[in-house]
Amino acid sequence: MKRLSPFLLGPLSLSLLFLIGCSLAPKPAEKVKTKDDQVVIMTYNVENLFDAKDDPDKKDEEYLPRAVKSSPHYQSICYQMTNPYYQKECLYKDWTETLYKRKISRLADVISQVNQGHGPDILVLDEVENIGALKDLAAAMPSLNYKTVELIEGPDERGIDVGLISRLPMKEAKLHDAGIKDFKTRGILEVELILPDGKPLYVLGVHLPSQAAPTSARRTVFKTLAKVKKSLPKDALVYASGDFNVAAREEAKEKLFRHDAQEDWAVSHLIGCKTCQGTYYYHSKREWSFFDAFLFDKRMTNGKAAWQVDPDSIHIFNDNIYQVNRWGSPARFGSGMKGVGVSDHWPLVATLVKGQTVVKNQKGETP
Amino acid sequence: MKKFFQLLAVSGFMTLSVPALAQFSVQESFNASGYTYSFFSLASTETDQTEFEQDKNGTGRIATYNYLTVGTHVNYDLKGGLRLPFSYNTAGRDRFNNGEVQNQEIFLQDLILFLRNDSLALLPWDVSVYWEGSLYLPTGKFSRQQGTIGAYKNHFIFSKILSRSFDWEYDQTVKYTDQSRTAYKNTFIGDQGDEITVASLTKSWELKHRMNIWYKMDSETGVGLQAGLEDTYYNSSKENSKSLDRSVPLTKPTEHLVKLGPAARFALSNKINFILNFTDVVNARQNMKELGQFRSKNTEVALLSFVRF
Repeated sequence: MKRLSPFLLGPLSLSLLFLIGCSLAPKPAEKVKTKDDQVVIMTYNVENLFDAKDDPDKKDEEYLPRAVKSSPHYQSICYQMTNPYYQKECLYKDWTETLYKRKISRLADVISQVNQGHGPDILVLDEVENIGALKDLAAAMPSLNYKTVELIEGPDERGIDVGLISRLPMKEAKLHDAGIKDFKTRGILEVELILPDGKPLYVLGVHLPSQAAPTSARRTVFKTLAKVKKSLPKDALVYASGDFNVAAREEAKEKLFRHDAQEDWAVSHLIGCKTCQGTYYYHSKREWSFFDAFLFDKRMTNGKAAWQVDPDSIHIFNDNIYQVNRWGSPARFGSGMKGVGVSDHWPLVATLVKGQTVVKNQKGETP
Repeated sequence: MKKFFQLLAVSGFMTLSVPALAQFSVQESFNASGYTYSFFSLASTETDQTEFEQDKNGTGRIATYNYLTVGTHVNYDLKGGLRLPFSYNTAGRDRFNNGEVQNQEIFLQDLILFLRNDSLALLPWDVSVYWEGSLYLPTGKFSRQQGTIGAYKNHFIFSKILSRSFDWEYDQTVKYTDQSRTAYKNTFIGDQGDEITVASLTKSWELKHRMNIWYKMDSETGVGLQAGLEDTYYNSSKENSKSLDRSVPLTKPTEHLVKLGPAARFALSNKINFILNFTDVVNARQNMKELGQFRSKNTEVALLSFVRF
């Protein structure tokens, strides 16, 4: 070798990258249908799914293009923020249509991989700005055949809401107040869906106050949730899901899941998901937490309801490359300028099975 | 092996004395507001120097290049700060000075002012781009000796997470050194043990390319393979021409180093982590065929320590 080009590695490495980029995940060619005897459910905090347009009724100024918010109107709104971090995000975050589409595209990529590429039948999503964003997300997965898209605007100060998309038809939806008087927060979204056998399924979507709020606030919402459950018809099939914002250290001390929730529900990570670490990771504390969970009507775990949850099916979905950062924890979308990142939470998935099959399995019998 | 543990001990002393948190490819992470303090250390040794007999009064020295960094957000997109670099070298031999044992030494290196953007761009196929621009001020003894006015370094890191287990990085550095002179007086110990003074040419450009593939064993531990090229271009000097009419300037051919070797990364805590490199270094003009043979005269062991307060 007489002379070596100093830029030899550049083209070589880019070629390698091209080859890797050419690998594509298989996608179902036909529209997916829900099975008659099986419903796959999922809960996912999607980390600030905001569109890039201003909603005058919401504090969504952070999620606008920088060019738009350079006007005196938006500047004055941002300068009213007392928290320096949020003020800076409000003033300078450049949330463009390109970033919004990238966020939608990555979320769709994750959801489309669940259930062997068929996506969940019911998906509860936290941190969605409006129903338009939810419709954009559903539209980004045309083959998954999501007909029901529901979000009811609530009083949350940041303007984020709980939404639901599903292949199952919807009968009715309503929003319950979370029961907290001290500040405005997300309500409890109740959606009545029709199962493949014609029976109603009540889905309660929640997003409890964050760790910035005291434990008493989250405890209040657990109580409200129990009241909502009791208000439903006695034989109703019901489950709740979403981001309960209960940190591992708080759970160890306050036992919100083990005591408060277990009085009325079967908690997903207490009946299954035995090898799961958690859905959220605090890097500074090096702590995994089950922020996200399913709370099942206990009759769905003891064989007394027509549809049962399969405990072995409860798992965290993190197979998508966008979901995992360098340190093996959830990769947040953040500025949207990184090669990975979709949400700072991992979604939780479970399967509801019609009949007594699951109970038999738990006894060790062959289904 | 003894030298390896000595390397760990030196680096360990330097890092543990200044506790901090570190990241993998980018050494510092910045707080949302206020100032961030961090420490970086590169400790290296030449393996052939460790193989000398003890009766020659000691073995190869460990050379360290370290800096303390004070950083802050310059604006929403840019971070910046000051690095205070210094070198500490243990007593022992190196490839210079004809194997004579050198005393331990500590001295200031060139102060660095830097700006960086962690997320400069997102290229097709989700390739992230990191950028850092640095200005070197001639505060170090070598820069003063060589009449350096200043140096500018442009650093890009292109990275992609390939899968749950594999990461890829391509690292490119271009450094230009502005010199007030093309040659300087260089003194060293010759083969006969006598002191020799010659005119050495100053550097103008340095280009570095490095490609890494990492396999993640867990969130903080991994092994990797690194390959790189390092080219150094020198100024030419008419004034130091050997011809009487000065028609033929003193020149030095461009140096092309090729590097290859395994690496491992590991952490002590969420504030301290390390990358250990075992690198085969050959000169493309002289001993290219030896690449991959890891002959002791060609290999270097280096321990990079990243610490954050």
